[in-house]
Amino acid sequence: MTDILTVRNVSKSFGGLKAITDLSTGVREGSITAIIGPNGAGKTTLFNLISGIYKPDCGSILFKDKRIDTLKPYIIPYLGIARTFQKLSVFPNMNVLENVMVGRYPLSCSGFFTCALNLKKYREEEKDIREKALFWLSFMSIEHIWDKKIREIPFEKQRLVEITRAIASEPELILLDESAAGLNITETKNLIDAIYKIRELGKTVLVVEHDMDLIMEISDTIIVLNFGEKIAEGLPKDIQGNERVISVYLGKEAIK
Amino acid sequence: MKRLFRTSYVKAGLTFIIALILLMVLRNPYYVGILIFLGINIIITIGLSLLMGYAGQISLGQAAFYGIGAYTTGILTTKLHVPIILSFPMSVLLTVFIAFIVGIPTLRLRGHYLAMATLGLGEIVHIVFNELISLTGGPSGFGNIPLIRIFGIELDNDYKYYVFVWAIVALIIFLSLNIINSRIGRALKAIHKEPTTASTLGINTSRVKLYIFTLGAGYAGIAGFLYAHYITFLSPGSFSLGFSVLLVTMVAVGGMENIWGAIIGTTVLTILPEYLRFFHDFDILIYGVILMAIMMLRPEGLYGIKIPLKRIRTND
Amino acid sequence: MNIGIQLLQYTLSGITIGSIYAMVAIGFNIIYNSTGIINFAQGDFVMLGGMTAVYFYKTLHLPLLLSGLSAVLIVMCVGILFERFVIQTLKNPSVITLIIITIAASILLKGGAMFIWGKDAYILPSFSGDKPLGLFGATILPQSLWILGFLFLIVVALAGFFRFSIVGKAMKACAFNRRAARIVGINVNRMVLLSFALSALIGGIAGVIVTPITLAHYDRGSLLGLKGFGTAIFGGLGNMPGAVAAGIIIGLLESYSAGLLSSGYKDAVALIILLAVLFFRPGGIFGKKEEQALKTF
Repeated sequence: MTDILTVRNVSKSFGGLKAITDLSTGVREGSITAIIGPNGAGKTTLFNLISGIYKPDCGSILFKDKRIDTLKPYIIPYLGIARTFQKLSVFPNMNVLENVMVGRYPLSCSGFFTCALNLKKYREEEKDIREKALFWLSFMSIEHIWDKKIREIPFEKQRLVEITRAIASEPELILLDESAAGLNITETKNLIDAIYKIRELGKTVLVVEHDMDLIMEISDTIIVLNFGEKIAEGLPKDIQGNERVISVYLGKEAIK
Repeated sequence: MKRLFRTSYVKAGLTFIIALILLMVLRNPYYVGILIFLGINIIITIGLSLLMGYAGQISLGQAAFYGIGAYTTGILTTKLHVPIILSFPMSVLLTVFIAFIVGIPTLRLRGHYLAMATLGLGEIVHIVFNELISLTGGPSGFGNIPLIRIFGIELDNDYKYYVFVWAIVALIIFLSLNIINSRIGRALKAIHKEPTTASTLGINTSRVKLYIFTLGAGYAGIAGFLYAHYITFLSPGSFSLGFSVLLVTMVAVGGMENIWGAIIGTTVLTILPEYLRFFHDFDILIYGVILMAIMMLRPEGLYGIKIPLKRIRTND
Repeated sequence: MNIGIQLLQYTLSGITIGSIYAMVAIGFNIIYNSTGIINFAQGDFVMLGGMTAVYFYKTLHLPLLLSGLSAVLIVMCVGILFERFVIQTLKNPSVITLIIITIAASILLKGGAMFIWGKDAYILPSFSGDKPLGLFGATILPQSLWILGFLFLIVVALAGFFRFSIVGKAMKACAFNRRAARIVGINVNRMVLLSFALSALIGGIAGVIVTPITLAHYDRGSLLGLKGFGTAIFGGLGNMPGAVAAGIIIGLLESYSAGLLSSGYKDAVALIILLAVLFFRPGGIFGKKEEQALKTF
């Protein structure tokens, strides 16, 4: 079992704030791996480092054994990594289908001239983009809202659209940043089903979450961060019993 | 589905047909002249609305590109006797090239800084038009720009020029609608609202912004070309900061998020001054009032406003 | 006239006009500091100051001092009205809307001035006569001394205000962190109003004192505003001493290039500096190193 993603001795500071300190870890291919930790632990920073939005101060990040931490963010999806954002970041000026169609951007290539002149290549590619977007929407069971304006659908559905957009680029690794935030029990269950379906396709899923039940249920591996450092890594049952993890979340008193 | 792809042809074609009908209805050459200017202005503002409404950027210097297009063809055809068939692509290419070069550093800026940078660039070009007297004739300008000869017909009166201009307007609409409905259009909209997210989706935001900026400049250059061979006389006064600001006003008033909004705004602010001809001292004040009113009462612009007479098209 | 005296002459006129740029830049900084807004109409406040003063003096035949004071007060009121009726009423405006609104204000002021006073340029008499004073062979207009004097006065007054008065400190607090300022009980809305009033006031003063030298004209506001903004950015947006230094430097550069190179392109000097700063060092020469200028608000 190889690691599809490797983080090697990565550190990142912002001014005086050390967001991540000497972090090394790996994500196994085909797994559902969770990153947890209290607020400010560096989870989203790690995602931003993987996405290329930040560059590490030192260390390296490898995807399929190739360094990606030096690449510009817009190259990353072409390599097969997609992500969602903690703060829901769908595009309010487009409808559901169009939002997902943006996800097909790295898989299409019509340029300015081709599009402007309405050439055959553009028309065919556009048709394909649309069909694939609809396909992924039905994969996530939300194809019936394809023509709704994105701000007119419930928050949970907006989250699902964002995930659909990510999966539509057919990545090998998908990063979900607090996708369960704000979801009720039924909605969370839908999310879990979606994540399993994605994994069934052979994708690797890396999630950042606060919902412990969700984490314990779906994760193959859990990585625990605190103040930018990895304090534990392993199977869910091991993490549950890990004293350091418990003390970080609930305080030292909880151990007693 | 197929209908969707025909739409840009249909809309562009309809625009041209409506323009022709208007021409047959309005016999008065004065009105025809105004509508020629309207067409020229629309070409610029469509480009500007792609930049402002779709990509979410701003340019307060479009008049510069308009001027570069006009002066280039003017100078090439009068001083260097270049045939118009060549001066057209040369003017447009030069405009696009300059836009590309200045666009690279400029588009890294955002918001107010981008606005000021484009203002500054536009003003520098205006100063150059005034100062490079040997080339541009300075503040008094120069004339004798030759007329266009196309398919053997010389465009020597307003009626012929009108058809020519509006054919180009229709073409610009066609190209622009195609872009808007394509992956490029979606990329622009993505960049407008969530540029960081857009880049994580594979969109090279710097490059796309640069291209749309260059495209808008190209449109302005084409408009400048049309202006030069219509008026056959150029002076820097037509390409000033005031006109750049007016262009932005047209787009903002009409509705930025939409090229039809730009067309509406341009129409309102081109036709209106003609009604206020005798109020010549008023015009800047009126623009200011209109712009202020729209920004405060309906910042999304006039497009989509429910008038009892007609429902303006939705969903572009 | 030997080259040394010529240079001195250019230096003197450069410092004079640079002081005006510095004042415009200070006006930008005050509003920026408390609201994050760039007021495109700042240059038009200056224009309005000059035009109104001319109106009071020439048409209403008020004495010069009273004309000047009234003009400055009127411009301050315009600034207040703009803030109250326009800025206040906007609900969560986008950056583009804000930009366009201040542009609209600029157009309104310009259009209003053109409508009321036409397209002519107007002059005010110099405050203490036109007889140039000699300075090491070069001459300096008394009005230039007034300009320098007012700049000094404004800088000192503002420095004292921000440092020592409770209101000034409150404004600084708003600049640092609006939410925190609100929490400790500072009426942020009033501070914003005050910043507009202050900016307009300074703009009006600049307009009145520069009109005897450069004349007042309805169209002068935009270019002056642009140069003033370039000055503000050059000195670091929000940085007061930076604005003064930047103004003097830009004024000098403009004056030297007008004298030594070509006067037609002199306006381009400030603009090129503006662009150079925006492209290469948006924090300005005295601003912070990190490119905070690139971020939208």
